Amino acid sequence: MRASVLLSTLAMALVAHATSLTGPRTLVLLDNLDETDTYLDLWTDLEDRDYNVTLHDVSSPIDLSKNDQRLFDNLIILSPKMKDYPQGMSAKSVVGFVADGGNIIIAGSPELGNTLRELSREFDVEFDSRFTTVLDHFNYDQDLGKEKHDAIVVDPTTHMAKFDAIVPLEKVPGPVLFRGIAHYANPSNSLLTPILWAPQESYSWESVNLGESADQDPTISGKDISLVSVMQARNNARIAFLGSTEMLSDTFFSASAKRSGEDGVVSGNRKFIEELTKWTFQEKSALDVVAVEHHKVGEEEAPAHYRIKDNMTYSIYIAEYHDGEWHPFSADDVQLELIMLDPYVRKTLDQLPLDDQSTLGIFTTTLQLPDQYGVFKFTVNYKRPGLTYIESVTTVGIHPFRHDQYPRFISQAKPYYTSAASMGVGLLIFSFVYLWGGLESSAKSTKKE
Amino acid sequence: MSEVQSAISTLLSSYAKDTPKSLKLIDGYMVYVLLTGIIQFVYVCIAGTFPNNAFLAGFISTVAAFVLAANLRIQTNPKNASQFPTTSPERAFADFIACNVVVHFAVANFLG
Repeated sequence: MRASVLLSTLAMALVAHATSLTGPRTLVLLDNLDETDTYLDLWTDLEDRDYNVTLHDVSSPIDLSKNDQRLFDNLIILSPKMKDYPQGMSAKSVVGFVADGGNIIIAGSPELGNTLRELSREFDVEFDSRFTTVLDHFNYDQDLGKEKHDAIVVDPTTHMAKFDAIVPLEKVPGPVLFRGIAHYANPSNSLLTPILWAPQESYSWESVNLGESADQDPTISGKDISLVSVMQARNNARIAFLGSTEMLSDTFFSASAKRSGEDGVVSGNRKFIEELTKWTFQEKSALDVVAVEHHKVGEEEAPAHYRIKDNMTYSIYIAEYHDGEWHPFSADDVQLELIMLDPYVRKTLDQLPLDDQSTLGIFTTTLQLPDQYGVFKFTVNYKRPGLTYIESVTTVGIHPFRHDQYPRFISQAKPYYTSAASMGVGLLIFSFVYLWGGLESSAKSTKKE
Repeated sequence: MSEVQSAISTLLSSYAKDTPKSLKLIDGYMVYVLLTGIIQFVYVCIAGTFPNNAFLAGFISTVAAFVLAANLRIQTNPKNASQFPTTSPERAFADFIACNVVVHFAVANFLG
C-alpha cells in the first residue's frame, strides 16, 4: 500500500506541469473577431497561465469533439448575440462537452439570444428577458454608469458567496463592476450556486426607454438577481454563468469603481475573474483520493474480511490541486460512513498533523465495527461547494463469530451454572444420607408393619 | 386466631411424630430445591433472559429435581404402599437416580 501511495504521488507530479487539470486547450467564441481587442487583458492572463487560447467567431464552423475525443478542454462563450451555434456545434454537443469533463464559462449581455438562453436552461439558469439590464440608482458607478445607472458596483464583502474554494474574499481587492443582464439560479438545484448577487436596491428593467414611467413591476429585483453563478456537475466538470461580458473587458478590469459620494478604488474585476477562471478550469480546489487503507488495530494489511465488533483503523489519503501542484488537503469535516443499506456508523475522521514533506492529507480514525454481519461499504461521501466531489467506496465483508469464538462462560449466566451444579451436588448428598444415614431401616420397618 | 395456632401446632407435632425420617429428609431436599428455583426466577426477572438457554437449563434442573423428589416421596410413603404393590422403596430410589441422571445429561447439554 505504501508503494502504491508513492507511485500515485509520482504520477501526480508528472501531470503537474499543466496548470489546468483538465487541460490547456481553450476555445473562445466571439460574436465577431473585431471584439478581440476588448479582452486583451483576459487573453494575457490566460496565456500567462499556460492556456492555448483559440479565438473563434460564431459564423465559421468548428467542432468541439472528434471521434468522441474532446478537441478542447475549456470553452468560453463570449458571444451573447449568437443566433445559432457555429456549424458543427449544437446544444447537444455543448452538453456532451460538459458530460465529457469539459469546463465552460458562459457570459451574457442584454442582447442575449435564444441559443444561449436555452443552453443555460439546461443547467437550471434562467436569464431575464431580452434587452433588460440590472439597474441600480444607488450603487451605480459614477463613470461607467453615469447615464443609465446600469454599471453597478458590487461589494464582495457583502454580496459574494463566502466559499474560499471558489473565489476567496481576500483575493478580490476591490468592488466588482457589472453591466449586464440578470439571471436566476434555481435554488433547488444543489449543484448550482450563485456567487455574486446584486445589491438590495437594484432591479432588472429594459434600459431603452428609461424616461417613461413603468406600468409593471420588474420580474426580478434585489438579492434574487444573480450576477455570477457557478455549477459543478456530478462528473466534476465546472460551469460559470456571468450576466455580463463587459465585466471581463479591459475597460472594466482597469476601471476604478466609484459610487456617488465615494472616492474611486481600483475595481476587483481582474482578480475576481482570475479566481473564477482558475476555479472553473480546474486550476484549484480539485481533490483526488490517492489511496484508502484499512486494517485491524495492531495489523498492517487489509484482511480478507472483518469479524463483527472488530476494532479497525480506516485512513483515506486526499490531495488538493492548486498553483500547479498537488498539496495535502486540510479539512476537519471529512466523515466515514459504514453502510449496509443504512449507515451503521458515521464518524468524523481526524487529520494527521502535516509537516513540510507532506504531499497528502491523511484522514484516519479507529472504530469498532457494528454488531451486525453482512457486506458493508466504507464510504467517504464528501461534497462541499466548490470542491471536487469525493465519493470513495470500499466494500468489505463483516463475518459473525465462528462457533469457537464466543466466550466459553458468560458471567451473566453464572447463577444458572451454580444452580445446575448445586442440583447435582445436592442429589449426591441426598442420596448418600438417604442410603447410609441410618434412615432405611425406619422406612422399611414402617413398610413391614 | 388461637384455632389457627392450635391447628398449626397440631400439624407440626403430628408431622414430627408420625412422619418417617426418610420422608423428612426428602422434604428437606425439596425445600432446598424449591428455594434454588425461586432465587433463579427472581434473578431472571432482574437481570433479563440473556442467556436464555442457561436460564432454562438451570431452572428446569430445579423443577425436574423437585418433581422427581416428589415422586420418590409418594412411592416410598408407607401410607401409599397399597397403591404401589409392585414398587419397593429400593426400586423407587433406583428410578429416582436413573431419571436424575437423564435430567442432568440434558441440563449439562443445554447449559451452554
